[in-house]
Amino acid sequence: MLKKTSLLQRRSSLLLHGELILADGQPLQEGATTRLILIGRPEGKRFLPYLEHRLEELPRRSVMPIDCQHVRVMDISFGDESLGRIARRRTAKEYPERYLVLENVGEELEANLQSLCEQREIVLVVTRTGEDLPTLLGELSTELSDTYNIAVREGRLTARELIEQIGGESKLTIAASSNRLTRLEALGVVAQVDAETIEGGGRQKVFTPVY
Amino acid sequence: MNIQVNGHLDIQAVDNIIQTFNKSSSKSKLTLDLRFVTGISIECISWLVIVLLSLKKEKVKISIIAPSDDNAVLYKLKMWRFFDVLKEEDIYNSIKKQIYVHPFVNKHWIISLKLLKSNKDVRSIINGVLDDLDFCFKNLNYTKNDIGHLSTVVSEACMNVLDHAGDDAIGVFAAELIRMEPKRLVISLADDGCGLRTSLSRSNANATDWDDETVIRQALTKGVSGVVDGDRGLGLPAVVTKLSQYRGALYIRSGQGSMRHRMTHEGTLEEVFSSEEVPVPGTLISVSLPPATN
Repeated sequence: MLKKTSLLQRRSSLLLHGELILADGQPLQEGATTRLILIGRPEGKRFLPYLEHRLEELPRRSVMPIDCQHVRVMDISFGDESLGRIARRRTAKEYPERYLVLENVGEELEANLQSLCEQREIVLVVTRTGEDLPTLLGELSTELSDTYNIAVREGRLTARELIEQIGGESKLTIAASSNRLTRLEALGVVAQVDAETIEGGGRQKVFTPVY
Repeated sequence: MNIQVNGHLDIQAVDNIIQTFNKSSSKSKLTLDLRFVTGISIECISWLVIVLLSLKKEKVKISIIAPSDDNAVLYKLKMWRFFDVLKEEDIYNSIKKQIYVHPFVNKHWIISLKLLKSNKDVRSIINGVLDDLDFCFKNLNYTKNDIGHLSTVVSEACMNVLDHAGDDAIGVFAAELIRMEPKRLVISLADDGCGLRTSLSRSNANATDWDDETVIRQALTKGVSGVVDGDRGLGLPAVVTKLSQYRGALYIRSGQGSMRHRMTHEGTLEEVFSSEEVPVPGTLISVSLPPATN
């Protein structure tokens, strides 16, 4: 599948490495530069304020990739206290129009993150090591997953465009199509970037994938 | 007090050692004679180390009479670095110089015991699982993705010891690939901490009234935790979830009972609780993973 660029502004990546100094003045993982093993709730709690700060600093309608090339393991507890909390706060409409994606995710780390998503019923956008196309981790219906893939392929998507892409046989109504996009927005995997006038009257929301 | 162990050394045999010792009038020294031990299981070794370390904490002087050089049990003990872990100086019959022992012992692949006291130890164990056990996982046809999932099992189980067992607690981690049928990887983790009931009672006032079976069941339930924080309680439940996916088995022992938790090949969950007379506090968790099914 080909991918069109997201309409969101991509900020510079946050590279996770052991010497990354967190809000408490201490490194992310003392004594390690690569092959980070990020474990436990206390360490996840230490990482959260740093991540929040970076997210709050982002301009609106932008995405911050977190480069995980040096992360070997992130256990559920660490992920739950950091990424999990951010994902849940997003559902409560915190961090409007600011997004995170995880880049360079290795196979072992992907399994860790998948476990986190299953346990916490959240969805994360990741790109695997050496791949450009994003993958959604977490339990998502086929309809939502397909909708996200169409958004990635097209770079932008409205409810009407989604119906056209899926084809008339699907009998997807405008309301159901809008609902799919709104649910993906709540999960933080697509973002509303515009509202455009429809020929014949009315306005429609324009969404873009966060990656 | 001199205690001789005959035959297979299992968890109940370790319990008997401590019960016999507790009944004795002399509690300053324990000499454990392992010369006639014919076999020793991985669950047992971590529990034995925990029991001996708890005695050491109480200033009991411990001596081990090791099996003879040609005994396979001695090779296993050496592979586990059992004597180093105990750091005893007066071990009779044991070979003073380090000798190379191939990690295959009677078709088993053994990695050394690891003490667990801090996050640093957990990292070392996880790195060990990913590196040292790589051979074992491949032998069981696990992919890197599977190994990632299983590293979560190890991490959550280890962090559970640090989070819940108490500040002075020590954990012992052991792992072994059993290549005889039924082929499986067994990981065992024992600690000398406060046990599940005390841990759960920190946030559940009723836990002190629960019977042992309820305590273990609650500890395996998502959202139930020993720490007062609304979003806790993922550790052991996450272990159960992952093991169920891999049709693995979990043995958990705390208080005066144990639970065997297993997903059958037919996809049915089996849970069997047994009351046991456990002479020391602490928790023992053992995880058994069969070869990948696909």
